[in-house]
Amino acid sequence: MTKEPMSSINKKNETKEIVWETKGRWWTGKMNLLNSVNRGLDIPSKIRPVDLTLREGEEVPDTVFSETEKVELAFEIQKIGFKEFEIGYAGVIPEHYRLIKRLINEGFTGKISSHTRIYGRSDEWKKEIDKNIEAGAQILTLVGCATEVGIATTPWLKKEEIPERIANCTRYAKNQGAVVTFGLADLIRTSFEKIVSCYQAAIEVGVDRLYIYDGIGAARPEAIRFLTRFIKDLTGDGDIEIGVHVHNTFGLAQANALAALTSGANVVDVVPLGLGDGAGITASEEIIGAMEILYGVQTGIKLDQLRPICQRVAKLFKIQMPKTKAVVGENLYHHQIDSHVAAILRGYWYSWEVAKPEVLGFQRKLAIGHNKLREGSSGMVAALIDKMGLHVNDQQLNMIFSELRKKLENQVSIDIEDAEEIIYHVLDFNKKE
Amino acid sequence: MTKEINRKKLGRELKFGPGKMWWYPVMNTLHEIRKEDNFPDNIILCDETLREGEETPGVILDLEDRMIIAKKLEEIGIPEAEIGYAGAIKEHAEFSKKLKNGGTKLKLVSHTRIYTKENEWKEEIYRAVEAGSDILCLLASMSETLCATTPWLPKEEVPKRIAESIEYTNSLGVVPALTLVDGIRTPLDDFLYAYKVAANVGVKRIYIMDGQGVALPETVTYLVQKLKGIVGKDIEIAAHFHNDYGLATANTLAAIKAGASVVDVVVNGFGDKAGIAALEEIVMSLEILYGIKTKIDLSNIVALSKLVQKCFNVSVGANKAIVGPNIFRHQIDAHIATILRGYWWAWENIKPEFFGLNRSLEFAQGKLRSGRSGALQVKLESMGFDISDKDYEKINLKLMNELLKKDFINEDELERLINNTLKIHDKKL
Repeated sequence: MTKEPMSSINKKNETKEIVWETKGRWWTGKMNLLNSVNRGLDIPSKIRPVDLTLREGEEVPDTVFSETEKVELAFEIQKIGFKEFEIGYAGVIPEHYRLIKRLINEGFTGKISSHTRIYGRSDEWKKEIDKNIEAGAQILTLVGCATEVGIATTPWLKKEEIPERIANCTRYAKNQGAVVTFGLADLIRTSFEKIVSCYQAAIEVGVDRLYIYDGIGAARPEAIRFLTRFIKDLTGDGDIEIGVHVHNTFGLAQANALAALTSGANVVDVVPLGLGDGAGITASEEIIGAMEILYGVQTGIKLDQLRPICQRVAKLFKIQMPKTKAVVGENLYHHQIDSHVAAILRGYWYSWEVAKPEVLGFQRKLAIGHNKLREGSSGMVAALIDKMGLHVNDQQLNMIFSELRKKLENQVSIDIEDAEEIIYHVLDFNKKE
Repeated sequence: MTKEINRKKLGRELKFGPGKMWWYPVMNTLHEIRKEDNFPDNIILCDETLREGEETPGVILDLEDRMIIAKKLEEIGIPEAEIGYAGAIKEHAEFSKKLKNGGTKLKLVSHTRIYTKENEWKEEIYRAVEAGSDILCLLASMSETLCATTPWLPKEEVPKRIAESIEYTNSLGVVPALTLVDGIRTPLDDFLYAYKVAANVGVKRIYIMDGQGVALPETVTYLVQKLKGIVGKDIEIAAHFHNDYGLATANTLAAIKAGASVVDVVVNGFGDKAGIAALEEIVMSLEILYGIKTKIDLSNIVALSKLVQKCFNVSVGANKAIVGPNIFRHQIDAHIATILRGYWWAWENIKPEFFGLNRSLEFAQGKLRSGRSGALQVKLESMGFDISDKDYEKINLKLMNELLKKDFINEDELERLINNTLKIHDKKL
């Protein structure tokens, strides 16, 4: 069911190697687009990321911030294009209940979902749903568990009764006008007969979305692909959406989300910087960046705002944003490798960058790194001299190198602007003249 | 209140590893999911911490740092290490010689440019060999973009240069490997042609390299299969994948699964820009999720990560997979309750003891749920207390008061709080 994939990629604008985005702001490798590569994949034309900063994200140890900060953050995330937000457990955590009420009062237009446990005792599950609806949640994400360990810790709910409970919860929430999603938190460890009976129970009473959950991050991408197709098949021809929520325990949250999104899922749970319990979940910036730039799939999110949002979240969560973080890390547009800087100075930015820096909200930084300066007339120093429109002889070039090396004895790197000054200085004339 | 777990039924959901130190889902092992697996018999992990890793901006390593890291890599069983540009960077050559003189077991790989001017490339190969390299990773490019940056070597002449450099390396008795830098962007026919040329003159290893992190896992699978068909089974296929779009782990695993037998990794996933595949993620995924042996001392992986963070003066993110400081910290009420009941595997994949670490159960502000089925209740049960609702409320209140002062209290502190509350209460009676 592939609907015009690669919509943002202009096939007319292609070379033998790469295909440029319509406006020339980024490229993708032609190899990514080969039919033999994409055979059997179901690439959607657009996907919908759901922001979980205020549910999964808040579960990062030590995160404590005020209700006002949460409200501000939710509005900021909404502004960059998110349409759906999971805001905690409004049915059981009073702070979350108040937060949803306040967001709605203050004119929040995003769809709000609330995590809803289905395994409460006797009538607790009903109360939990009521409370969520009362708070104003439009979407209830019902989460169940049917593994041995899940059953052991909720002994009041017999395992034979789980499908019935799922149906009851779904029906009850739907009757109150909520959009209902369902998934087994421990899907990756659940036996197939239980998967079928649980998901089938939700399908029969009209669930709106089914989730592929890997609550612990132990699935191989092939397992997620298989499960997505399996659940998709259960839904038949209906218009039930498939969502994916995967943890990053082994560094596979991105791979697993992609496996689902190219196998029939079109909703993905995300948190900036991949924050969340344990190793966190799929990172907003990674899946949105990869979908938009590498697959040409629309996400509705402003790409250049991902970095500011990540910076904001890092500050609020009091964590350091790793410099090497994919898509938003400081080092992504900070070049120090001699040959890379040389190529960029000569105008070939795309030799070492995929998207122009402004696409992802960056300013490029070029510098000469300690230990990274190569001698000779083919590297970055030569490229810089060319770019400055200067001509130097071998003796002058050697003097420039020795001056730069001297400087690097005492500092980690020399910014390219400072390197220009040094070159002018060595050549004994002032930039201003 | 807990029911006993039926071990037999549990075995249909998950299997435990040796010593019950970790588990993996049965789902990962199903035929349906493994049917396209084509893992090589032997996987060589080539650590790039001292080459790619060092290219992380701001990182400065001295000889001592390099020696300490190399020693640790050798200790945990890494067979190969890329140590830099021994033919072009003086410090790297010195380091390489020192390692060799010290009798290292690591096979040393050196990044070696062959796209340089006139005979510079030959000198670079010679110097790298002289510095003690066992394998030369020869770098050339067949993409329009990079060929434009080396006007002295037109694209048509690159295959000839490739052949000459491989023959020269072979003549010096060192293993030649070839990397098409920018391979992922090279036209497929040129890409395959260059490697065919290399295979014909005796290359031992060829790399699929994605320097911009732009390949998709399916692309990687396809390229590995294609290359295997062209160069035959005696030439190793190697993988080097950057993480600009968060796909380094996925792409590296896709390559191995399709038959690549050499993989470049960096501890903590450091490296130029967003870095490359993280050693710890690849090794643990292979061992635990795919059931593939790597011969690495897994229990030392966190220690290695810490060492590299210290030498590099760069920290990993709090939630970094496998080695992040948050991995064994629990604050979610339900998770703490389950772990206290003895079911650690409900919310952890590997036991902290495996890495010589401790688990931290933290009773935190805003994370505890009301009612008597959560973490606090289980903690009381585990201490052997069966108390009234009134006493429970007393303890809960005291805990809440404590949490007004700090973000969380740990298990020991909670035990003291419980003991004190109940004791004081006894005295009053």
